[in-house]
Amino acid sequence: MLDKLAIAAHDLRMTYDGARPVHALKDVMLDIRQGEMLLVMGPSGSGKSTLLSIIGGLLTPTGGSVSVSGTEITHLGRKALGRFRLQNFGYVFQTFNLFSSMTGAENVELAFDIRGVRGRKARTAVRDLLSQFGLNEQADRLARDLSGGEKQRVAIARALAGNPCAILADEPTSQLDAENGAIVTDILSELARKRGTTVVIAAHDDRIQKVADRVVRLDDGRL
Amino acid sequence: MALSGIVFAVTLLTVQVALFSGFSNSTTLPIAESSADVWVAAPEMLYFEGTLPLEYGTVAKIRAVPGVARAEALSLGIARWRSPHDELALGRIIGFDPGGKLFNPGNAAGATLKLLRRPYAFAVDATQLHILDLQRVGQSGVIGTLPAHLAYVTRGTQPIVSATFFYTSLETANAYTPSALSFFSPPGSAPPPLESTDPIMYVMVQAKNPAASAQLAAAIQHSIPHVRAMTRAEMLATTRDYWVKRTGIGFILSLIALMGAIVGVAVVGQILYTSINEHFHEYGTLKAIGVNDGYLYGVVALQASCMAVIGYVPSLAFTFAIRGIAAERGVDILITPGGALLVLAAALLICISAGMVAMQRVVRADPALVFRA
Repeated sequence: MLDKLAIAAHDLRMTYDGARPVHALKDVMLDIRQGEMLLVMGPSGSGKSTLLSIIGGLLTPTGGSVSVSGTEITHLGRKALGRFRLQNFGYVFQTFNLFSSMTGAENVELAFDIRGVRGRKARTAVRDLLSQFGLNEQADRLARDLSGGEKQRVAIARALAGNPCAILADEPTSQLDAENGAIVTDILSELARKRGTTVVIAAHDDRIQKVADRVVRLDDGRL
Repeated sequence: MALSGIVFAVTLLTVQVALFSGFSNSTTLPIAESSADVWVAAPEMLYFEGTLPLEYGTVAKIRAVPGVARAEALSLGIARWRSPHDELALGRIIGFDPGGKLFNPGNAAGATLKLLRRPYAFAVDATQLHILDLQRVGQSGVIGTLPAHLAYVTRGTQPIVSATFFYTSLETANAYTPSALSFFSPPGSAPPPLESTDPIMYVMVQAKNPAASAQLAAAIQHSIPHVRAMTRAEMLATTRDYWVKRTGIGFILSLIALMGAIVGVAVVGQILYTSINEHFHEYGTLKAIGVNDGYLYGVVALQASCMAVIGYVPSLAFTFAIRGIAAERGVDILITPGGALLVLAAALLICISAGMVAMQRVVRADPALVFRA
């Protein structure tokens, strides 16, 4: 599975305009294989989040190109890019970004609803996903009442709702204690190994470094 | 907090609309009191109280028009009232036939209505008693130079825009009119019957076929020179339009209702804007996931609609609750089914449009912001 190219970033450049323009990425070349768990490391401000945003279709680079499963996404229009993200990516955020007034199950169900999967089919899929991450008992609790580890597991379940080809995770363990950090790391690792999902993580966490297939380092926008 | 703000805004709107409806309805109360199908007035008639007199003899002429089942006179005059304690007040005398069938203020029972056959007996709306310095039935005052005895009290018969209406018989009304010879009659003598040249203001007509009221009105206008014959609906509309469209009161109440809507938009808009800002990161997450703008607008429209409906129910309950208090002061707060639906539609429109405006920030937001926690 690792032979197949999932994401190819070519000559990526990103400059943020301002009184003093910031060159966040400088000629970044990066190929990521399907089912690969890639860890992007680097100090704060090195461009990790920018790289993740660009290969995840959230940000258009100043120069260069990104192909995902053979589709060049850097030239897609806003609506087309939105559809592409919906069908191909799952995102896991440092601060979880769950709807706090909805239950864990409702948060995941919303991700199905967005993709047009509703009713009993959606509810069954939600229960299956939450069950995989040991969240059966927490499914009906409000997101704001869940622990950090539980929130991040719900967020991963939500990210998997569309059966994406790639999961992009920004500092997924930085808000978690050691035990929960390890659980989340294992889940992400299993996603790559058992499901063949490409997992790209931007983090400082040594635990992730130990299980990642490959580690790349960004320094001042250069790989 | 958000909900209480919306309840406040929708209540403001509901009360303003109900006040406007009440005012609009109140201006036509005397016409609504009548079961006449056709009203006949002078051609110059502007609204119920703004018209020129006809001769009483016109009633007999109208009775002779084919299709007329019944015709009764209604007179209008000015009253200078002096209470038992010498308090002065101005009012309007409305004279009608208490033995007739076409006008019955307050829908009084037959026996009660007949009390007005007594010389110088009158009825007034309960909200006017304190203005007239009266406490109970049986008390007397003076109108002009003649005695006036309170025979009974009506309810819901006093337009908010008018001076106190004294409902009395045609003969007594004619006696109270300063131009009448009876003005000089010695106290104690009964007012004389009307003569054909005595002034009245309207002839109320019952049609043999109420469905053909418009045709009957046209026939009366064709048969009797120098009159204006209107169907009941035309008479109601003419008077209501005068007050609502041509007077400052109608303009002010319309303006207040509009202000209620504007304040509602501002309050609800601010609440929804704050609410959306509080959940900005969550909406940003949806945007990052790839949902289209239509879905985001749909979520906000649903949220705004729920808030509108939840805010609408207590506002309606509050408006119903204050109706009684307002009615005691002669102010009609009217909530018609149409008015209630209008307010609901306005509340939905206000909330949804405010939500759409507030959502602009999310729609324009950079989806990458979710990675910049």
